[in-house]
Amino acid sequence: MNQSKARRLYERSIALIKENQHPNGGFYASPPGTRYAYIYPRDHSVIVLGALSADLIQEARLGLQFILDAQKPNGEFSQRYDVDGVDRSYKELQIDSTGLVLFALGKYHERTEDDAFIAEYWEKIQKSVTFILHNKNDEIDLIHTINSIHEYPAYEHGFEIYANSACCSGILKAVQMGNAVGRANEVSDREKEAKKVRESILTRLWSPFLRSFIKTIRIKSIDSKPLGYDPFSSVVTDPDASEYAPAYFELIEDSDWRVISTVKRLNAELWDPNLGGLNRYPEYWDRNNGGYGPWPHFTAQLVRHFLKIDDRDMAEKYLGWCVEIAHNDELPEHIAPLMNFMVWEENYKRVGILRDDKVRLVEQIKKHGKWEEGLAYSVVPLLWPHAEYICRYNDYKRKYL
Amino acid sequence: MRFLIPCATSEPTVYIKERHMVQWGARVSLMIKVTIPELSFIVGMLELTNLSGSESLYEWLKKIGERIAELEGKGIEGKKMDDVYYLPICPLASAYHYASHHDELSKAGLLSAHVEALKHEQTAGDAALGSMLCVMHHAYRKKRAELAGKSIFHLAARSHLTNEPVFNEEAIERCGKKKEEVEKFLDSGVCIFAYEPE
Repeated sequence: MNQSKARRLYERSIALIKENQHPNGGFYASPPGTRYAYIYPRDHSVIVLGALSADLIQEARLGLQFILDAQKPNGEFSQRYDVDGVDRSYKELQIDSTGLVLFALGKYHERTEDDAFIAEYWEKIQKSVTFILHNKNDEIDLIHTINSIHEYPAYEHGFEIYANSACCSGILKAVQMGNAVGRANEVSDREKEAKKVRESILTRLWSPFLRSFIKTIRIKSIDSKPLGYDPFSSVVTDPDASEYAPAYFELIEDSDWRVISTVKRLNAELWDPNLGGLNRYPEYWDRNNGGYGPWPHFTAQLVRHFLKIDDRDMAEKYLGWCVEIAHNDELPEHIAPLMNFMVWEENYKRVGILRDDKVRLVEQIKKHGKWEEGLAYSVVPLLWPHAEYICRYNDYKRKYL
Repeated sequence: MRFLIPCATSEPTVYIKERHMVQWGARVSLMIKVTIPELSFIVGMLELTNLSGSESLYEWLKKIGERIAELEGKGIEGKKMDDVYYLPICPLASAYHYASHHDELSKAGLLSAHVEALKHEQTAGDAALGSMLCVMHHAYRKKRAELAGKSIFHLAARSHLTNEPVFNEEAIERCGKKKEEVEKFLDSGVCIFAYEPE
């Protein structure tokens, strides 16, 4: 791995995080004027984690304050907000966002021991836990959602692994925070519920035949009882980068053979044979705005695993890929070869679903400096991969440099 | 009472005495169409009009919108174009399959009251009625805007049944616009509204 380029990307990533925090506290998912110029709680929470890793403690605190103040009356965090904390969602429930906010808050508390902040927001924390548990199905002890990390209901509607891991871990963090601020009596039942969810993730969302965690138990309605009679009832077992979530959210050790085996499968089936880097799911799922290709965010996530199991070669292969594809030290959402981009564009045009915002995405891709080199760079810079990169670079540096 | 519930298989039709699941061999007949919840809501609107009149229907729909907005909290909808916002599709008309259910009821001779015939004295704060669903949607949007410290004016919509433009002329005047100007926005979307402050 080119160490000087890696360091430069790290510095630029920190600068981007600072530049893209609105004075109200929200982190833009991508800068104003680009595709995702809103505050998405999922991205925002990962950026808070990046800020914590980079010692930007005040920025992280302000970011958490912003998002907690934007909480909906029922305890949910929406798909996205404007800089004033007003809900600007256009998609339905994505419960992983609520889990992620709690997870990021828990990490902030672990780092700072800022009990006063937790006490101030305790009611909101409790509300979010209640909201998550309201969506728990007691027949299977898993959390139901419509969207998750890919915002793609066709493969995520039901009991999905990323949403369940984020929510389960979010509740466990809330329990830790409650214990720290003298609310132990309010959280013991919640801890029991979270442990049931964890057990269910590790058994129901694990396939001994594939030796891998699996993506989703598709169920249309949380109220379907028994689940076997739900009209959607089926299982998505395809490889998906989000199947690393149980370890990412600290529900299971990376040294556990189930995680090692899952990551081996992801590496074997999702590492892009042409461009390198990790694809988020198989090409035949066929929803790839900007063309099918690898994502730096998911690639950087797995660096965490390789560092935990002390596999330096693989950690450098994955982290080094992020360094190499950065253009002017900025990371895109994902990249694709021209042919994949054109197939996507032609498909969407032909069937009439190339919406205005996607037309603008096409224009931006064609204007990007990498276009002439035969690569489609979508949404540059995206803050989420930069935040993930900061976390992983610091992990790498602590271990090997 | 006997209910006839056909199996979704080639096997003989099953007759059951009570309306709950009955095991028949290895299969269970559960044939309630997925569209029935939406259809029920539309039939409910018709029946409420028959029972209590259109004013009651109007108030009922408003209350539904407001209550749901209180659950959702502050929020703003739509895509901005100049100084107005628009929705490219109507999410409620689409979710309720409004036009096709209406047509189905009409062809079956079951439209004993016509909810579209409701004439309501319109103020600038009311919905432009693309259909009765606009009453609920606008009440929802208005409450969420209020929670965000804003006012909203529903300037125009396209009829959910005929696609013809419908306007709230009071709202258009209140926002200092002209009808022709608002009509042009209907080329981009089916629902046009303005927030204050922007």
